[in-house]
Amino acid sequence: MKLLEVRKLSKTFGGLKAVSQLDFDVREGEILGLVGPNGAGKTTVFNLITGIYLPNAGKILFHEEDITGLKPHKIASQGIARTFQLTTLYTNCSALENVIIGHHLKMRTGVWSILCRTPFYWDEEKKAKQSSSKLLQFVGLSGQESILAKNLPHGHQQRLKIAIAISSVPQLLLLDEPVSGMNPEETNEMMALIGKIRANGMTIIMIEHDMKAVMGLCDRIVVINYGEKLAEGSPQQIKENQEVIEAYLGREDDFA
Amino acid sequence: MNKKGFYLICLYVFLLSIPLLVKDAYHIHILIMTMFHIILALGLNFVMNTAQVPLCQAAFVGVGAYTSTLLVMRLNFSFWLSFPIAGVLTGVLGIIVGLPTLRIKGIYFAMATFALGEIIRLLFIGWVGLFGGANGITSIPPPDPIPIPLMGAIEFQTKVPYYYFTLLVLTVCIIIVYRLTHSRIGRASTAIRESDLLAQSTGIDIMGCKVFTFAVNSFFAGIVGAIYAHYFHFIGPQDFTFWQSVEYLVFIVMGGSGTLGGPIIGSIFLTFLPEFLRMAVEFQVVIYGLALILVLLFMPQGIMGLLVKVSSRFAKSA
Amino acid sequence: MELIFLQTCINGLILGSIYVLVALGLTLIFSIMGIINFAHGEIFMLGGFATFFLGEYYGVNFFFSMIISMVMIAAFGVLIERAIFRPLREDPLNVLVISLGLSIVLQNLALIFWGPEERSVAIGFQGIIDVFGMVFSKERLVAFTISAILVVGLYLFIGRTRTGKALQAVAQDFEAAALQGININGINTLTFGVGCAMAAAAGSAMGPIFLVSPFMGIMPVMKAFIIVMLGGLGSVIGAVAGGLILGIAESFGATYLGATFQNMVGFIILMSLLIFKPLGLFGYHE
Repeated sequence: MKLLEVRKLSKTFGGLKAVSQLDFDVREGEILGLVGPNGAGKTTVFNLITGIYLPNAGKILFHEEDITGLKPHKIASQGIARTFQLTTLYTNCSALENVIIGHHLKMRTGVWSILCRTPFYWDEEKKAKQSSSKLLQFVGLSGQESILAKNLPHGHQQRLKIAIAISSVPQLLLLDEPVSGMNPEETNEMMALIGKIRANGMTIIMIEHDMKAVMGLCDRIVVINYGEKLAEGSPQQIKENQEVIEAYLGREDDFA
Repeated sequence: MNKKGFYLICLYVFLLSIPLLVKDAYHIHILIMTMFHIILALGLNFVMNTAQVPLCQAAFVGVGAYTSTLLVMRLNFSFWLSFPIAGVLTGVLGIIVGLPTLRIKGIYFAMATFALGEIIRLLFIGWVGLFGGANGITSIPPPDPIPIPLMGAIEFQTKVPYYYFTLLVLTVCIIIVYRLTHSRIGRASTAIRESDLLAQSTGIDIMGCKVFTFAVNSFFAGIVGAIYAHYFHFIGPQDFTFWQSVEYLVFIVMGGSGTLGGPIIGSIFLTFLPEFLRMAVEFQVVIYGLALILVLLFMPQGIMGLLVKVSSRFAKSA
Repeated sequence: MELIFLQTCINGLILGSIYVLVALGLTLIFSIMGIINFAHGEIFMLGGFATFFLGEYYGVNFFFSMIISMVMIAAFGVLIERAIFRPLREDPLNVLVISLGLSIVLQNLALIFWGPEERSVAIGFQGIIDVFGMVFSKERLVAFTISAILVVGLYLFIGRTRTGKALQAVAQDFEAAALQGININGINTLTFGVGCAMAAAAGSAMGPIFLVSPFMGIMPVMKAFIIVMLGGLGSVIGAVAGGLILGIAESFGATYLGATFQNMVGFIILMSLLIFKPLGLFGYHE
């Protein structure tokens, strides 16, 4: 079942074609890898899907409904979540607070129940806190609840980002370089985590440069270069694709 | 009941009994002014949590003041009706103004609200027929007496009834701000301030949140304006200038933005301070300005931040 | 009839030229340093007072007073930039707030030390010139000439000299400029100094025409903000055009509308510009 469909997506900045006539699908329950050399436009694709950029042409369909051009928070409420490459966290809040904030979509308290502190309010607050604790446990940060996000080591910050993203229980999760800056051990742990998340029913699109992670996790891979789709297929097919190898000139050893 | 609750009740009993202990009308006046300032500072701080700094506070206070005055004096409304209407109207103005302006970045938003504040003030001066021009409006009546069964009525002839009424309004405002802050809405504000990119991606409607907080702030300004008008019995455009907006900003910066206690402490400190520095206005203003500069340079967390640091040091050594 | 029209126009140009000087300083500082200095009007005021005192108490010729004043005030500005603005450079909003504090401190210190009276500044030329039936005071003509010289000088400095090109580089992308070895702190200091010197010159030029007082900086700086927005941030030509336009518009407004609504128009323009110029949250969403 096609969860996300990207049709002839194009985005130009000034004179520069960042993304050009991009076409691909994401099937429910799969992990799709989005790879390509630096500057290929991968993060731009994420920004287009999540509504941060408005495409110049093309359509994005989620559950066969057109979500092109919707505001980012609306797209999030449709069930698409993402992480960012840079340290995009609530830096001066604790890890737990970060995840509680992430529960924004899940909590249904309105102004009146907040002002009157109805039982519903207390109930929702308690549920959010419990859920956040559980999520931190799930990503392996159970002892770190009260540590400020800015004081967490890089690997833990990456996990925190994921905890925040999945707190709204999205159907589609966009991960932007989840293992960047990690050593092999941390990479393995993160891979296991991503596998767990998929096992829980979430569909994932993953931007990554680390070929081990890509090959190890992804069911299918889309390769883009200069904003255009270069190839699409299973990891094995991509590994053997001549054009892809050429695009990554000098990086053939990554495919070993 | 817990410790916090107990101390709060003690504080309240004390505050309620002040008019019995303090007989000098001028001192009561200082307390009333302090309460006005606290309400305004709380509202302003609430907006500033979304990383926007409005510079049109005083003009909104003016909108509330003129609204209530005109409703009472031209349309024979009772204060008890004009007062909430003034607040709501100013809140709606906040929404109308906020929608186009809150999408623009911090420093430009500040400038836009600065321009708006001046436009409003110039309207007060220019539209003589409605607002009385530079001379303002005089002889504004006090609130209607509140009838109490079997005991007569509470008349607003001395400052004391104003004190209790303002205290009541202040309490409600504090509760509102406290509850909103410790909720999904308050957290959304924090999220927007810390990282609006991430906030959007987790479903937070940035504009919605900003407009809401700005509307709450405007509402607070409006109701303070309404009470102000019927307390001073006279209002004029010179009461609602840009420099008063700056003053409210100084309260927050001095007290410490981002906390609940900060604006309260800042307002109390800076409203009482001029009373102890019995000197000409110009000197007071210089001290205000210097205080702002020094605090921003050396104590960006304000007095509240200082207190927190000191108390945590005590806790460590204990 | 046409004569009055023309006279109003030219008066407007003259008034505008003073606004341009103030606006230039502001736009220079904003485009290169990214900060808005609300106390710019007080720099303007101090420039005017410095010229006044040099003339009144030391008998210095007006033009020399103005030059000395520009240097003094530029030095003062440099100190302020270093002590107050630079530590807060990362957050322009904080700079704006602190400049508000500085503004009220300077205004009221001036009030305390020099009193509220308006002082007139002697320029050495007295009287009026009659040109084809239009009457212009010599003071205004001198002011216009000074402005014109300074504006042209600044334009040439930015466009033709090496330092000027460095300024342009920093204005466009200060990280890239830093990587190329340009001394950012030095540029900032220079920019702020030049900006303040411009304001001081404007204040000095204002003295003979409109008198000097502690609060003389408030309205001109507000007008300067409008001009900067009108002409486009960072554009010297834009500031010139904007200043002249505003000067003319006000001149006509004073003649035909009431003073209050005339002032309001400026702020409405400012607000509209801020709202409708594409300065979104982070510039992505079109």
